[in-house]
Amino acid sequence: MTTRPISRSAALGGLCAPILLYSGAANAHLVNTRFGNFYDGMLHPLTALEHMIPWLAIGLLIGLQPRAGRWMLLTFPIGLALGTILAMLAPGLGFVTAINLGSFILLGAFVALAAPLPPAVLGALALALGISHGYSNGLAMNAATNPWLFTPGAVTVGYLVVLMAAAATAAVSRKWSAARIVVRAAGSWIFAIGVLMLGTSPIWHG
Amino acid sequence: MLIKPQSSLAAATAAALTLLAAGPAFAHTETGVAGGFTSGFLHPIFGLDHLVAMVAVGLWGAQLGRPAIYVLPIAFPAVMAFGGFLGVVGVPLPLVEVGVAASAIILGLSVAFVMKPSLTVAGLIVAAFAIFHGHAHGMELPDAANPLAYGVGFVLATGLLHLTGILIGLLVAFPAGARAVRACGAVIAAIGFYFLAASAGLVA
Repeated sequence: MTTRPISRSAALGGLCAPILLYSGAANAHLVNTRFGNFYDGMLHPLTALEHMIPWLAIGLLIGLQPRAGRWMLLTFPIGLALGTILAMLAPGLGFVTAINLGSFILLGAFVALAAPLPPAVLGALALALGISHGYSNGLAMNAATNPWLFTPGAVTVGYLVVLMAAAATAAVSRKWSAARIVVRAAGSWIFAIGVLMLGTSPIWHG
Repeated sequence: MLIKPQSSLAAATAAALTLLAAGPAFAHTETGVAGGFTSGFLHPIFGLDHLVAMVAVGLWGAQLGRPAIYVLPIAFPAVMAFGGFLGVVGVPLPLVEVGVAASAIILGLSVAFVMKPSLTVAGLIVAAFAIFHGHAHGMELPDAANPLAYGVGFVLATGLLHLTGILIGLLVAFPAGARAVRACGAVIAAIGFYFLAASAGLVA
């Protein structure tokens, strides 16, 4: 009987094949893992009108005055992160909801009037509103939520929404002067929504 | 026992008639955000008295030209919201239906006769009527499936109706278009008179 020598590649293949039997499941979507809390942080504000509309208004405000408003792009995400952390430390601040509601009115009025504001004022405003909106989002976390994933998720989506709205507003209004009027009209709509919602506050209804 | 052909025909006819009484089946029950948005968005559109007045604001703005063409549609939602606020809070406003009908009459006639007051006067007229429209919408808001979504839908629909009026009003650049816009104003005023008569109980 003659034996044929086994090639090195065949031997290597024979060794690797059993290893494949031990392979685990591949998760195409990381929502099945702990990384899902990052997506929770992104989706929570993204699916809530009470956050999306004022964030859009911040973008419109930056787009109307890009030079003065660019500080808002920096301070708003920082505020969101601080607010989310604050929600973990002091979860009982009920007045923050009223500030978020007020942000409709304040931001809507600023956009509608297109009044030029100092960069420091705009930066401080974005920081303060970032904290209040971040706080409300942070309250959505529970004991099982990983805050180190949830917070970056909320901050990322906040930054992206404001950045995209600002970039689109600045680009369009630079090209067509009529677009600036459309943006201001959108500001008056946001202001109107805020005033209407002010009426639903419990302080008027006992 | 044999069934007579006449009786089976009668049974089939009765069954067919019963099917006519079937109500529509709704796959979507319009709850939550979608329901609130839908009801808010459709409220100004399905209310003909609101619809014509909103379009008239845009038409008049277009006739008046700059800056009224954008000042009126920007000012209207802001002032309307105060009327809406009064409605949401429950502060009664007398003669709301008369005020809404009168807005269609005054704004329609302003368009029909190409009235060109100063921007301040035009703004005050529009603002005064905006309070009535806002109050009428605001009364519905607390009962909405989602009040915020209702507010978004209602403000968006109002703004789009203004935009519709402005786009139609741009026809004033042409002689025939200007006449068509004035005719639109006359029709709006006529509709306003109808609603005024209806609020007084003179017509059904």
